[in-house]
Amino acid sequence: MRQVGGMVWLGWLIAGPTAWAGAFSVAYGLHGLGCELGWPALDVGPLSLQRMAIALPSLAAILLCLVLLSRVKATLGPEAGLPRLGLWIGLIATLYTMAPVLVATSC
Amino acid sequence: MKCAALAAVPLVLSGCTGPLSTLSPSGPIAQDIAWLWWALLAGAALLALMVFVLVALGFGRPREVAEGRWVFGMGVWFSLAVLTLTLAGALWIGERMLPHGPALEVHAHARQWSWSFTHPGTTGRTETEGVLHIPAGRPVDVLLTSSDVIHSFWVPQLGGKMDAIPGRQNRLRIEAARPGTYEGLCAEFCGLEHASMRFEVIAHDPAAWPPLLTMEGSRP
Repeated sequence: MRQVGGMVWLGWLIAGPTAWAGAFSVAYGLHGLGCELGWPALDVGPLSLQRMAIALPSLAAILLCLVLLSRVKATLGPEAGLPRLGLWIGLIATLYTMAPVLVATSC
Repeated sequence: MKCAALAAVPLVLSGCTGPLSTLSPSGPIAQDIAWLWWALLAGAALLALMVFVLVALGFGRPREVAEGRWVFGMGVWFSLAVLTLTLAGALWIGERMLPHGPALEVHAHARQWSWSFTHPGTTGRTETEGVLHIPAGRPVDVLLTSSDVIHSFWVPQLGGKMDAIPGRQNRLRIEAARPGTYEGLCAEFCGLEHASMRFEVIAHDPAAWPPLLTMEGSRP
């Protein structure tokens, strides 16, 4: 295991919340765009295009958190504690804030 | 000092009532919003209580504290439970407030700094200035437009608020349970005379609907 520097460790630490923030911002933008363009009326399989467009950035953030969680211990060794917590926070925050998208009226 | 503080309580609480208070609902939609307000207050009070207990414990003599119980039990799971319950309540009430199903449609047009309304009258569609007429006991969809800047239509006793945006038409559902006169206002700062951009909503007995409106801004 190689030694990981301070800024790299900081990057791992904020990776989870950053993934959540990125997904939230993209979903926020797509939500407004979809309402204007009539995406709720367009079906893509079991979901409307609107729900799909908002759910996909969230799924991407969740996948990113899961991948990083699988590698955090191997990369950071004994320094992995807090970054792992940050990744769990990002994962749960993404699930928590995006879950209403699947049930609530969008526009 | 203590007496002054106690005397100030009724004064402060008096702000919770009146024609522009969310906590004096006069229709089913506003009632839902008031319930949500009380639920959020209860949730915030529970979380504040937890913090106050922690602060109080900090003033006592040093003691062994079950860290896991406070950090995860109260700090994470308790807070998350309160937030989840209030979020679920907000989503449920938010869905109930949306304009689903049939409703009477009226138009509200905003400009700096007044409102004009168009609604059914005995002689066809009638326009009024500063007074919106609706029937009591049935849902009404207000179609909102603006000709200059962003305004916001709000009748606290009858429903939520909605922006009136230039170039767009927004839809807000309101409902009055009983006939009466309700106060409304612009809830988005829109310029120097924003504070005086008020209007009235008159809810009529359904038997007397549509009302006889003879001239602009007239009362029946």
